[in-house]
Amino acid sequence: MSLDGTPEDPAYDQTGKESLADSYEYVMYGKVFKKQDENEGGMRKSIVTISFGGLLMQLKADPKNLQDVDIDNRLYVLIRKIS
Amino acid sequence: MGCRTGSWDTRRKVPSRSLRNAQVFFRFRNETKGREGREAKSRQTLTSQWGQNEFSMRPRIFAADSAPGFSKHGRTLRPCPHCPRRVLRVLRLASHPLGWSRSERSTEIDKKGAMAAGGVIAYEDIFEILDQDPDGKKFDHVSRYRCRSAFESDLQIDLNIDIYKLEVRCCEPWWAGKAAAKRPDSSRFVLPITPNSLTHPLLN
Repeated sequence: MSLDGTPEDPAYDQTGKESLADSYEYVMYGKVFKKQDENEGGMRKSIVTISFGGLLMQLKADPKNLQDVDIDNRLYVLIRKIS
Repeated sequence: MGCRTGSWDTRRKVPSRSLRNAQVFFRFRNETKGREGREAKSRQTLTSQWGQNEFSMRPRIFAADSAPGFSKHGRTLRPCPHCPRRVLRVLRLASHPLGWSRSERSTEIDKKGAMAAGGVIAYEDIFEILDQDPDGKKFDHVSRYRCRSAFESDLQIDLNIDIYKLEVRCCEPWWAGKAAAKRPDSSRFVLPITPNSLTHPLLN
């Protein structure tokens, strides 16, 4: 979450320094528990399912856009409204 | 009419909702007047089935092809409170380094030097909120949103609506203006739109 891309320490950061989350409105942290490929009308799609402490998120997208997301990855989701 | 509507209307516990359903019902009846009986009958069944579930958050459907101020998506029939406001969201997935092995992570960073934050972004896209609680509302403080991006990515996400509430798009899609020129029938909103015909606002 640090702005220069350095890895995070496993411990909770209480320093309150700048982070990626500052420019977003809603942030969740969760784990990818399912990733599968499917063929949808001739188009290949990757389906990634992430659990944020029980709140689920399912993203169905092109496999090449989701190649950085693998099962058991821990991810932040950062959301903001743009209009 | 009295006995048909009465069968589900009199069982209502909540007067306001029953009134709303009734209005929808009558309106639907008027709209389909003169159409083929089979078509009208199937729609009628739909309406009454949904009317029976008091807690269903599912928007009531009926022929919403052309009603002004109503969604062209065919799903909602609420009047549009934000027209012509468009609702856009950014969703970004950032990787947590703990998910990867440390060595792999650090070599990647060393290779690219001082990376911008973009280096850890696993996925980024702009989504539009199509629907809230498509399968009905299950929990008090959580809503499931169905979203879609211009790159044909589908997203379903649970959000705590006490903390962060999103509005469902009720108007034209945000890319409608750009796509209108290439689309002969621009009055109708059809998915999917090929992403190639668009320029992503984040890439501009």
